Amino acid sequence: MASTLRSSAARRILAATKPTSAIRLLPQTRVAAFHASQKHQILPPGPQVVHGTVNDPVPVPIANATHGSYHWAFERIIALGMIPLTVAPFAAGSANPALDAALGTALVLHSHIGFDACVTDYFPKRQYPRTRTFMIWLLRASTITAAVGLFSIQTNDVGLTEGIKRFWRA
Amino acid sequence: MASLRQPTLRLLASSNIRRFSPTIINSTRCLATLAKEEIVTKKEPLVKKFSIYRWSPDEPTKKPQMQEYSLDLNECGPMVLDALIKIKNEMDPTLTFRRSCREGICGSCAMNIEGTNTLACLSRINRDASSTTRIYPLPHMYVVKDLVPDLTNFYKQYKSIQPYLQSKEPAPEGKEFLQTKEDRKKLDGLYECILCACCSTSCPSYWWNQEEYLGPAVLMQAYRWLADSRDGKSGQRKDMLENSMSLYRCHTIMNCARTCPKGLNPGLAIAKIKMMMVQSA
Amino acid sequence: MKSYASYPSLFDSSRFFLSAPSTSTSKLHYNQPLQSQTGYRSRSNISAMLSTRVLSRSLLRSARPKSTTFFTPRRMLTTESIPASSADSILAAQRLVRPVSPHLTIYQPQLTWYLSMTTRITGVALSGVFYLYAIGYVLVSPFGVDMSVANASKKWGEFNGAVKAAVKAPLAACFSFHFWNGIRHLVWDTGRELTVRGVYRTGYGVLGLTALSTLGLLVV
Repeated sequence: MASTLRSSAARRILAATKPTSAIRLLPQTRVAAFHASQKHQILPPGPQVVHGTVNDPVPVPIANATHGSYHWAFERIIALGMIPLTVAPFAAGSANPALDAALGTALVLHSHIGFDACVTDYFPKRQYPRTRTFMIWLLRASTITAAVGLFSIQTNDVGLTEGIKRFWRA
Repeated sequence: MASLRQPTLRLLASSNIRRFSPTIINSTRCLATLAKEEIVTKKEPLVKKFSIYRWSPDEPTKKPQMQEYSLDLNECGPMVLDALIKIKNEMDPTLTFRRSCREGICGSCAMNIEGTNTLACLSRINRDASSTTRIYPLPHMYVVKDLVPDLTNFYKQYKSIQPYLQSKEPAPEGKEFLQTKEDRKKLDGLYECILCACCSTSCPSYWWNQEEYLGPAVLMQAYRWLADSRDGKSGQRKDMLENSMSLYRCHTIMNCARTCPKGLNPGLAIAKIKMMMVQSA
Repeated sequence: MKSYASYPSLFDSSRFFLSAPSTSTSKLHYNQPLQSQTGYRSRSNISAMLSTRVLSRSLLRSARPKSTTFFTPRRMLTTESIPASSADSILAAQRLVRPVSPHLTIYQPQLTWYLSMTTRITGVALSGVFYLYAIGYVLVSPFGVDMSVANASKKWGEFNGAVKAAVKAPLAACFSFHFWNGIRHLVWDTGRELTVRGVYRTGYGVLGLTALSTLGLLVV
C-alpha cells in the first residue's frame, strides 16, 4: 500500500486531470481452467479436518528412540558401511566371502529401510490405514524372501559380487 | 482487519483532488503541466500479464482456476505486492490475499511466485513482458480463498514445540537470565524467522505429511530453543522429536534454505538437531 | 491510486469478475478479504459479524465529502442472525470443501528437490531390480525355472548388444548417482556443506561424478 502511495505525485496529478486514463487501464482478464485439478492427483490428501480448537497444539507422539534417533543413526551407519563394501570387491577384482556376506546384509537392510521410508512417506497411517498395513507387510515379506534368495545365491550359487559381475559382463 | 484500513488510505491517496476543493485545481494544473513535460519523455506502457490462482468459498463446487490480469508496469510499484494491490484496487476487488507490512517482516504475503515460495513484498516483478508471472498460494495447503492458505495446522505445530524459555531455576532476583556473547551468537540465523511458512510449504516431505511432520520452520524454532543456553528443558524438547514423523521425515531436500525469503537455513538447523539427538541418545 | 468512484463502469458490469459473477453491486462492495479463521458466508446470509464491518465502512464513507459519491452503493443485504455456537460447525463445514493448492506441478524445478527425488527413484530402481531377482530366485526356482546366476546371465548375454546397453546404461547411471549423492547426504549429516551454496556446489559435483562413473561402469 505504502509503496504505491510513494509513487510520484506528478503521476497522480496527471491522472486526476485526465479522467480518461481510467478507461485506458481497463482490465483484460482471461480465465483458464486450472490444470492440476484434484481429480488427477496421486494420493490426494483428504478434506481438511482440524482436531481441537485452533489454540490447541498438535499432539506430541510418544517418544520412542527406536523409530527416532536410533533408527536414523542405524540408517547412516549402514549407508556409511556400504561405501567401502561396494567399492572394495570391484576394485580388488575378487570376491571375499566375508565381505560378500557383509555387503549382502547391508544391501538388504539398506533396501528395506529405503522402501520403508517410501511407505511411511506416501502411505500415511492416518489417511490410508489399510493400504499402509498392507504395504508394510508386503515389504516385510518381500525383504525376507529377498534375503532368503540372497542367502541361496551366497551359499549355493556364485555369490553376490561374482553374480553382479557375470550379469554385467554377459 | 487490515482490509478496513484500506479505504482510509485510498481516500488519502485519492487522485480526484479537484473534487475536494476548487482552490487546489489551479495548483494541480500547474503541476500537471510540469508533470506532463516530464512524462512526455517517459516510456511506452510496459504491459505485463499476471496469472493468478482463484478459488472462492462462495462457489465451492467450482474448480480453482487461473485468472489473467494485464498491468502497465510503468504505472505500478516495483514489487509483486504492488501489482497485486493495484489489481485489487483497480481491476478486481474480489482478488484476495494477505498483506500487511510491505517490507518483509510480517510474513503475511507469503505465496508462490513464478514457482518459488517467497514474500510478494520482497519479490521484484520480472520486467520481461513476454513472460507471464504466475502466482499461486503456498503449495499443498488448504485454500481459504484465492491466495490465502489456511495456516491453522502450521501454528498449532509451532505451539506444540513450546516456543518459549523454560528454565529449571527462576531468574536471579530482579535480574534477567544472562548469556555469554558466544552463547547468544548461537541463536543468530534462528531467531530472525518470521514464520511466513515459505520453507515449510516448499518442502515435499511437508506436502505429503504435514499433519505429522513438523516442517522446516517449526523445527528451526525447535532448534532455536534447544540451542539456547538459558533453556533447561532440552531433554524434554528432544523427546518430543523422538519418533518417526515429527523430525525424521526431513530427508535433507533443502528446498527450505533455497526458498527462505529471509536467507535463513532451516535445513542446517534440522541437521544440527539430528546430531544432537544422536549425541544425547 | 484512484478511488472506486473513478471507475463507475467497473461496478456496473459483472463481466470482469469471471470467477465470481455477481448480481448486485452491493456484493462487490462488501466482498472483503475474509478472516482466515472465521471464514464468511455468502451474501444471502451474511452473519452478524459482518455488520461491524459494514458499520465501520459506512463511517469511513461518511468522512468522504458528499460530492465524491456520485456512485451510491445500494444495500441489497439481508442479514440473518446466527448463534455464536454454530461458528465452529460453519467453519468445519467450510474446511471440508477447501481445495488443496497445487504443488508438484507448479513448484519451480530446482536442483535441491530434483536431486532428492532422483536419489529416491534411483534407489527404488536399484533395490527393485535386486529384490525382483532375489525373490524370483526363491519363488520361481521350485517350478523348474532355472534362475541360477550361470543360466540367467547366459540368457541375458544372448540379448542384442543394443538392448543390453539400453538396460545397463540406466542401471549404471542409477548406481553412480545413488552412490555419489549418498556420500553427499552423509557429508550433510555431519553439518558440512549444508548451505545453499554448498548444496549447489556439491550437487553439480555429484552430477559430474555420476556422468564420469556411468561411463566408467559401461566400459568395465
